[in-house]
Amino acid sequence: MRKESAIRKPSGGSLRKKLYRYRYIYLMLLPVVLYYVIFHYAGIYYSVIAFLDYKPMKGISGSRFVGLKYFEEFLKSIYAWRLIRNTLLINLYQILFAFTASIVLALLIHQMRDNKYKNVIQTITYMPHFISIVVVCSLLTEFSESDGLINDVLAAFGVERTNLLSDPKYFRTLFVGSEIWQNVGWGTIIYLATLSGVDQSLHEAAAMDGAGRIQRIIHVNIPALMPVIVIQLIMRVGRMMLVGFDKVILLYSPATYETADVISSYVYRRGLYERNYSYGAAVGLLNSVVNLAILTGANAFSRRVNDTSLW
Amino acid sequence: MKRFALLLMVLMLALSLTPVSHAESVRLVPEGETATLTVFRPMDANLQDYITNYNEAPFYQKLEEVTGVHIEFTNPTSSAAQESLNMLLLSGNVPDIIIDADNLYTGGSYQGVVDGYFIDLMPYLKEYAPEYWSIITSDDAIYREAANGDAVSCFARIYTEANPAWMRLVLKKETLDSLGVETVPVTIADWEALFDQMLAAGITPYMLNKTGYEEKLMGAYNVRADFYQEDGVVKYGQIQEGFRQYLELIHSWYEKGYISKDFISQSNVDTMFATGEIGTYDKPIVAAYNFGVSEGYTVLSTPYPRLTPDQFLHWDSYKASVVGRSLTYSTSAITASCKDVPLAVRWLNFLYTPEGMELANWGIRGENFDTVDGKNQYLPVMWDYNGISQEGLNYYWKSHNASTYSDNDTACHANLLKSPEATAIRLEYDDDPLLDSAIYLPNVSLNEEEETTRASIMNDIDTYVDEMVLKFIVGTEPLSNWDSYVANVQSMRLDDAIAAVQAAYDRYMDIKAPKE
Repeated sequence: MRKESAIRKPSGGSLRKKLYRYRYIYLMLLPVVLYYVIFHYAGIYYSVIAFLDYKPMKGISGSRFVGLKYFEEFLKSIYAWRLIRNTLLINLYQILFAFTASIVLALLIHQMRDNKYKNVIQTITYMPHFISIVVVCSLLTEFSESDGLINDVLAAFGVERTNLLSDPKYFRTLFVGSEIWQNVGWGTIIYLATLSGVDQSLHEAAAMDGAGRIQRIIHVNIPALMPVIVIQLIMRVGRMMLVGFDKVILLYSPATYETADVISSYVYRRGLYERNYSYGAAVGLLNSVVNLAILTGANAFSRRVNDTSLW
Repeated sequence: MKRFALLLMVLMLALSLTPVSHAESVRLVPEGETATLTVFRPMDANLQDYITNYNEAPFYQKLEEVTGVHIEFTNPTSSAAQESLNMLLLSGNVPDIIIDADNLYTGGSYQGVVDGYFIDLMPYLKEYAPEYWSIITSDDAIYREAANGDAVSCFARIYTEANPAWMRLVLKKETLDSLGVETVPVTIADWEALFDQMLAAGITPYMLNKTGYEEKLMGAYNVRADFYQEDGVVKYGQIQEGFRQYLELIHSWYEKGYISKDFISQSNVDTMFATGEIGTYDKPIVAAYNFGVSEGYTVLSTPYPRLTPDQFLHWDSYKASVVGRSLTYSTSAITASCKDVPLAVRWLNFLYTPEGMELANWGIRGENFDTVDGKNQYLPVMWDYNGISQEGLNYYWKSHNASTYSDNDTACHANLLKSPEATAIRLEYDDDPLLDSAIYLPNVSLNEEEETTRASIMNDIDTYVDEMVLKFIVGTEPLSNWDSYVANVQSMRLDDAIAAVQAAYDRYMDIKAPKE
């Protein structure tokens, strides 16, 4: 009896004892905690340079305080609106097309009966996720040339050959399209795991009531996926103002700034390339604040509408 | 017998090593001691497949041997050099010496001095770099270009005589032959006629620079990109009428199919030229020629394009000065983190002493070159060694374009000396009598206030202009919008930026070399 209560109440005993008992689990946690402390929390302190005329040689204490000067400069610049628009649109298209593509693919894979075939499909769709972004972008550059693969296909349908990466019209399509190609399979993992956990009796009962495949997907599989989809969507919306600058700078050129230049690539150019650290930091900080607001908003909205939320 | 021969060889080797007294004279640290300096030098793209650290290059090994100074290198790849340097400066972990400082530090090495990253070398030069000091003070024009008014921000490469131009629009003789064309084009109309023939033969005539700027064609309209000057008045190129005419020409070329549709995101251009897919592009002429020889075709150089055959061109930048500050690796700055500035100054100055000049320009005597009839001649290893590319060897055995005092490329550049034809093609059209540098803007130094003004204005203008230039060329923006484009640029306070550069230019022209 005493033994049992000891097992039931692991909270008994001092913190030290608990730490010792679960030492290996805490050890596994440590790198993750360190990552957040170093790369996410320590960085918050240095964001004060957004309010300074920061010169690294003078240090943070020696640099002149300029208040909101750089925020104002950015918001008044002719690029502010274009950068915000491009960032939001790329994200919106990614949610509309890339995010949903994974869900659809997961539903389709789940319907496959032949396990061998299923495994092959899964492996093939996961694979591109592991290719370096630099390689993906080089491939895309080659494919987009006027005598490249994509143009060969388009030309067969009578479309005039043009370099797709030099035309602002096609940038978002190429960006989101390649994103789908690279990550659609990877995105299915979490949905497939959820689908395999769906109680088979639900499917059997639905089949008994005469539901066909499509109806079973709509009435059994999709409701089962809904909580995961909502959580994923909130997290995705939380990155609404973020676009990885690496892929953008590998693909864009001044000719496509119109649709391709996003906040992160602009911060990279101004902050790191032209060494305008304070300006870059100010734009980045502004971006993060807006991002946080969007995330909070999305979470609150979701909590009110369907009781699923992050916190 | 074999053993005897071996003994003889060992004896001979030992004998040949005896004149040590020679090496002693140039050591920067006492015999038996060593000192260490840290140096940031981007790894040349042509060498990066063969070595990862410059200490593996015989040039630097020899330099360490004779000076007694060991170097700890930071060698980022050349494509990431600027970011690497910016990160190092931000981290505070800065090496003693930065090679290629003018190109890598935004605004040039002088801005690095203004910002406090690099030190002003002026107080050290007379005492610790007498050779360099006497070269730069030998002439007002050299001093103006090498120094920055009352400061010296770096050691710069200086030539005994200006270097002949090396970038040319190149053509393949085989292509011209197949089209039945006998002479290279001289005027823009000639070029257009040639392009028509190329198009008819299924060749994409011209791979324009991916930025859309080609100084040779702009030059025909008497304009240069960014800041230039006309009769001492500083101007901004991209809003001039001449630049509009340039855009009109390039846009019509793009429309007619003369310019490759892929020019903005071009890749593998060298191969496309070699296989005859494209007709011409802007390329270092000797490199193109030598590559053609190895691949079995003949490369032709061309004179600068003109509107009429007798047009006088004023845009040349090659003959403007004997100080080559914009060449890759040609400037070396010392940072504020350097603990032993006199040693760093003496180490950099070494390449301006006779022994150092010989090493930088020719490599190691007996191994890379020999003197025949009083004239230095490269040995075959300069062109062929261990599979390293020809361009790479220039940074392996010697230090091409380094901060040193040097004869120009016709005298000591292995690429040219590979064959008389290679030298000849570099010099072809170089004696152009209808060419000068009248509108070239020299290396002016903006003070802190001027630079802050210039940078804050030009960052935005450059982004806008670079984008608009490409749009005008491909036609997404019609040239009928030129006036509103100019008005936009001017509304971004362009005049204030011009005034800042003008002030710096006026100061520059008043500089005189100190006389002692």
